[in-house]
Amino acid sequence: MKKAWSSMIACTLTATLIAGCSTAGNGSSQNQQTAQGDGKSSQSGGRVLNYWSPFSGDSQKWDQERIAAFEKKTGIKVNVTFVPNGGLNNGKLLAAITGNSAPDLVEADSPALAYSYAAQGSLESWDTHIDQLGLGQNLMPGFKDLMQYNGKTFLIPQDSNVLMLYYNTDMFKEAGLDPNKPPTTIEELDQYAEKLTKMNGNKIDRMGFIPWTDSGGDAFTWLWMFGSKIYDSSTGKLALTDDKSVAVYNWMNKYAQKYNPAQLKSFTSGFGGMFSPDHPFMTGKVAMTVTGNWFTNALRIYAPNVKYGVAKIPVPPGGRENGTLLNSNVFMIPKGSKNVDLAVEFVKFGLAPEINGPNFDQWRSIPVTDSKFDEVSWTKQGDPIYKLERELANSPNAGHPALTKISPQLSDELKALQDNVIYNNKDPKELLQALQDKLQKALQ
Amino acid sequence: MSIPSIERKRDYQLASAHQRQSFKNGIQLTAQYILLLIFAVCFLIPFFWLVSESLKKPSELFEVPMLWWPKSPQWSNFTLMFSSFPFLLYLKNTMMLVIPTMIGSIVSNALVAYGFSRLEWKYREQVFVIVLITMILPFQVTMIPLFLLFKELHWVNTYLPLTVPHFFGNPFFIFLLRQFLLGIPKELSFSARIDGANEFQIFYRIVMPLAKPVLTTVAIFAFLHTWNDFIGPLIYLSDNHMYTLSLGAQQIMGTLDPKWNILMALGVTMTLPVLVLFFIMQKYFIQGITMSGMKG
Repeated sequence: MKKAWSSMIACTLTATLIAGCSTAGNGSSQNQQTAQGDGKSSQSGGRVLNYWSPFSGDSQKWDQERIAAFEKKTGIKVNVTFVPNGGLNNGKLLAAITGNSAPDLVEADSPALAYSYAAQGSLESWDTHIDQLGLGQNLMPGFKDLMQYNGKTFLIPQDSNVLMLYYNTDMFKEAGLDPNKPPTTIEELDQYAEKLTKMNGNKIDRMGFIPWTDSGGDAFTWLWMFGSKIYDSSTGKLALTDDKSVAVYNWMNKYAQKYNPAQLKSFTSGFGGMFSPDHPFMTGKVAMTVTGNWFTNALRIYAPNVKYGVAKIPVPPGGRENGTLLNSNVFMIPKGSKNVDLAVEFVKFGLAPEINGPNFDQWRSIPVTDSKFDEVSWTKQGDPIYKLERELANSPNAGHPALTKISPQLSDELKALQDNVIYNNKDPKELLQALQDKLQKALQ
Repeated sequence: MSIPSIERKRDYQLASAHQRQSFKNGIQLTAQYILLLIFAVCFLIPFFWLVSESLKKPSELFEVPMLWWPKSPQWSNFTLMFSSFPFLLYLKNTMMLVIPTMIGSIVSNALVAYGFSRLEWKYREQVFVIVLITMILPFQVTMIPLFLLFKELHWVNTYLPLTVPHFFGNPFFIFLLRQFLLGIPKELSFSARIDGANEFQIFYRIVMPLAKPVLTTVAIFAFLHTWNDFIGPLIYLSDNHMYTLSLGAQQIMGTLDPKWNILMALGVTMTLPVLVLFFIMQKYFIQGITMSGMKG
């Protein structure tokens, strides 16, 4: 027994030592490790940038290539940590900022979430570096609201995406519609959708359009396109109960009631994701859908035989014509960053068209300044989709809606409200009023 | 009526009563088995579903009605899973946390629980209540203060904040062990003391061997907690080479393409060690059942 007890103590000590040793090498100072670890850091003169990246999958590989190119060009060592959502929604960034151990630079793939950090005063301003980044006057108008809070710049968009209406041209022809004349108003969209829908008795074979699938299901897409203000930054008040907002949910509910919400739920539950060959647009279960430019890449990979066209998102009278939601990846400097100058250098490098080039080529994503469009291969090739994207991005009706410190919560609540209207046939006006009353308190 | 015929009748009555009794027992047993079977199926279905999903094509994952078993199992999902992220490195990192955590949990909680159950001291019950009260605080509340504390100790981005605290007791485990230790007759300790054993010898020679079943439970719980922990490693680690399997799972998921089938393959792979551990430790649970006879 004595032997067993001694072994147990020995095991404990060994385990603690193992854990401790692993930290001595990796941990006590990551900077120290890199500064002493390889030739690159001595070349960098000990200059190390700590950077948190939100990317995973293919995007992570692209970011690693970007970092390698930056290190090669500047000699600055980048300590990159791939953190889900850049640590914004899971407490990691909050803890790091509070503990004064934040990284020098964070990239976020959710602009609304990043904005909530700016509104809460957790970020350093970029104001003194804007000219250095070359963003100044070239910036398209839709990005200004996102970048600034109370007149100060806190977020720098790296690139962006726009939303468009995708439609199947073969199905258009089959239904007697002209593929060169996609719908431009909600009324036309509804008419086209009806013509494109195929029923087999009471069973749905194909839906012409479902307003709440793909990006249409995001909380702010249709509110923005219908012209709703959602949030008035000048008064700090939510504006969810205007007629335009109510009209969005009544319009969605019209589809639900027409085709039976339970049947639609069952029909849509079999849909594959955006990047799977089972996506309803690829399998022909849906004839039109609203989604971003990235979908062109998904179609190229998974459904090269599907013939499709893209168009501006239809809007009702009084809606945001030629509008789109911009979905940007943004850079931010958290409070406590120790190497702001290196962060600026990295962002400046990242904004260069040749660095973003492969990203643009793969996803048809767009730069944030109009002049840089000319340097993108799609523009050089005269690609009509990219031309449309450029037009949409430059539109005064392009933007990031609902930029508040409670954007993530507002988004979740609106999605729940949408389901409540569609599947429970509830009155949206009452629900919107109740939601506005509830969230307005959280804003104060 | 003659005596032999009375005896025959009695024998017949006894035999039929016995038959009735065994029939009744048979029904009772069948009912028990059916009930157990229903519960077993309820617990097995999610695991079966996980295995089935891990072998499906992406297009089969969300089919309605549900596809119980893929038409042609995609074993390549497992190969893809191994090549999608550094599985072995993350497994090693996870084990670096799991092993010290299990050892720390067993040693520290056993000592503390012994103090709360087998030793008499002033304000013992009050202190025990204070220990229990600490369970009320959720991690979200203590997250930032703990981070600040570990930062001051220069432990951030090391495994220390994820292992060392387990060597200082856990209120739930202390509670679990204390309740068990209270059930061991005090006479055993008295006899050992008469035989000349000191308190520490009583602890490890008499009480701990009897507490094996509950120590096993603590070990399994500690293993599961660390194995599945996502938020702890996420908060304290800022070096991808130190990441654990649960953080690796997140890295597989692309923003636009979650790759569910590969995630499910990882789910199966991550569940296997837990199952193995349970089957190894199972006999100690059975020991626990036989031990309950000793108390009577």
